[in-house]
Amino acid sequence: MRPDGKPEGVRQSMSWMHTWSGLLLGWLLYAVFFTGTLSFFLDEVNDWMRPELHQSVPSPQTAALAVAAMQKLAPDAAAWTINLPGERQTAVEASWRKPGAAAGRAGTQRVHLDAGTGEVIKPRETRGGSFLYRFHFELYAMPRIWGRWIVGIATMFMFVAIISGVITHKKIFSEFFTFRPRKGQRSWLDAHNATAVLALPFHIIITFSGLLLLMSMLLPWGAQAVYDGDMQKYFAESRGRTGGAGAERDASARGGRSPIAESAALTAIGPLMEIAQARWPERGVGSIVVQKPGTPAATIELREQGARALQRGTGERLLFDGITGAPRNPPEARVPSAAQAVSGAMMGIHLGRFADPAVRWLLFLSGVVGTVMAGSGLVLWVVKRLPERRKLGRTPRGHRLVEVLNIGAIAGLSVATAGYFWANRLLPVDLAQRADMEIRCFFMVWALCLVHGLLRPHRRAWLEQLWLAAIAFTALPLLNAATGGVALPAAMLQGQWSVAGFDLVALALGALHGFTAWKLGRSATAAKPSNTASGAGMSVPRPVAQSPEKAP
Amino acid sequence: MNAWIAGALALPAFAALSLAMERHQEQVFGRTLARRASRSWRAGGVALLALSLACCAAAGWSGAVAVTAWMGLLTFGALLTGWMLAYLPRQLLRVAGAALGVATLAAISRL
Repeated sequence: MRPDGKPEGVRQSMSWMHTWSGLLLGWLLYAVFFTGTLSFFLDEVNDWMRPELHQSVPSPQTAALAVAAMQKLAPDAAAWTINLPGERQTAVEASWRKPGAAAGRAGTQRVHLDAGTGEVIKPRETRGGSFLYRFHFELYAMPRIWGRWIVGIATMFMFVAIISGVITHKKIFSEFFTFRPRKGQRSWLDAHNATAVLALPFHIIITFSGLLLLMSMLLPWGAQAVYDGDMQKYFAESRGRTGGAGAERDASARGGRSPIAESAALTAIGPLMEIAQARWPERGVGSIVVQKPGTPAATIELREQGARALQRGTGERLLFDGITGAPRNPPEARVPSAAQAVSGAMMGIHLGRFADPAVRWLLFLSGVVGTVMAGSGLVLWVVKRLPERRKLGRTPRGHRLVEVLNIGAIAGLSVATAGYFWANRLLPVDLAQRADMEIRCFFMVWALCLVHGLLRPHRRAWLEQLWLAAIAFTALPLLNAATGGVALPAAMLQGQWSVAGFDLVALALGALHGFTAWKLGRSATAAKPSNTASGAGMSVPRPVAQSPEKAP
Repeated sequence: MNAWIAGALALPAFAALSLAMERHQEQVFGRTLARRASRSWRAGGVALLALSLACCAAAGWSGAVAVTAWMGLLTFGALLTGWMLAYLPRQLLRVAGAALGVATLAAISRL
């Protein structure tokens, strides 16, 4: 792309590719990274946004209370699934299927139970963290399939940007540890490189597995050819629904129980739980599945909390006779094929399903690093063009557009996300279409931030929005305690780690935004005298001897 | 526990690797080292990285999770090394040595 028509080297063409693929999809990728990173704490966000659940404090009797509640709520159900509280959930989540109910999600009824009393809790209407989670691969307010296509294409560009970025980066090893602070453009480039290179395994794995998750939509032809167009069969088989687990699921879907079946009382759950606790001293029981409750054929299955391995359904299970409590042999676990194991592991990594708290925090922090990489790349585009702009004596429209979009996409998204959590607590509980209103607040705040970036001088806009985000995130634990949630110290004392975890993440985000704003403010005051270009960037640019990228 | 040891080893591992590079030798020691010394730092860093991987493998995770977690820990070990070289280069040896000491003590206490 050289104007003089001379042939250009691989590195230059890759640099061009990196700059423009990164810029065009950078704003979207930033939002995907940001909301996706928060989704590592999906369960925690869901719990936090339903403060009614915070009164539920787990106790040793929780399992017995939950089973007793289910006997009252759904005595004639075909099966109960009871998810017990744990590190990531503070209330009991129970679901059941009525005999003859529709297959899939439609036929399932769900309810939250207080882990300390067994009472039903009716939480406020909210989409909770699922909104952020869905947004990160389906966007919003458009048909799901469109959103998935857009994010899928952006993910491919992310992959392109990663590879072209590595090729562009001249000194990937000799500058492995290099960060030169207070050097304007050089510092931004170093920060962009460090966050990209040092977390490169994470970036590659998360991008590649993200593509794999959308694979059946982006490249359906292979599976279509093999399965004669019957994609449902392909999905069922790739999830391993042919053997053990599938048969059990089918049985419960059919509602398998005749109306004249005699009734029989269920055995006490307490002793079974003790057996399971002794077997799994570290993790304990995650969920209880009761098949055909109340009949002589009832069975009780206890599943281990979390799973040690990447694939789904590899955790241990214990099966008991529902009437006598005698142990039974659980159905043989299906051994996945190598291809299934690999794809299951890749997807498992992306979803972080396997992760114990330490690994989950590692994934979250890696996500933060990835978000910083995307953001610093966007800012770099502007900072890099400041000398050109200064020479020109004015700000070209395109540059100003990128500046405004950067503010809105980066700082504005933080403010909007914090605003979403504030709306969750400040909107009246009995508001009509409350869940939608929360989401509308999110987008309204985001749009306001975009307008604010347009109206205010560049640096002022950054500073104001970053400070606003910092304050809004930091105050979330206070808001939580003031509006019916359990306060952070109490949550930590009572072991309600889902709620405490959210508050801690909010404090961490507040600190991160505050730190960024503080740094920016300091460099702003230092740079003032020499700063003449309109709405100049984050800090004074100095000529850079070795730029990895030649301007196109 | 083994996971924490693996994480604590990541910092001295990368500190040693960085000290095999002339630019960082100047930052930390104020001079460049002889080639043989550089090579020893590099060998030490590689050995510590391998040790850290072994600790992850012994942390009770399945193989894939262990490697994933190891790479995550390395990311933050390397980021911390780079940050210290930029802002507190003279403290790097002390902090990395302390991390190595803590990891050793933790490993001994588990024997």
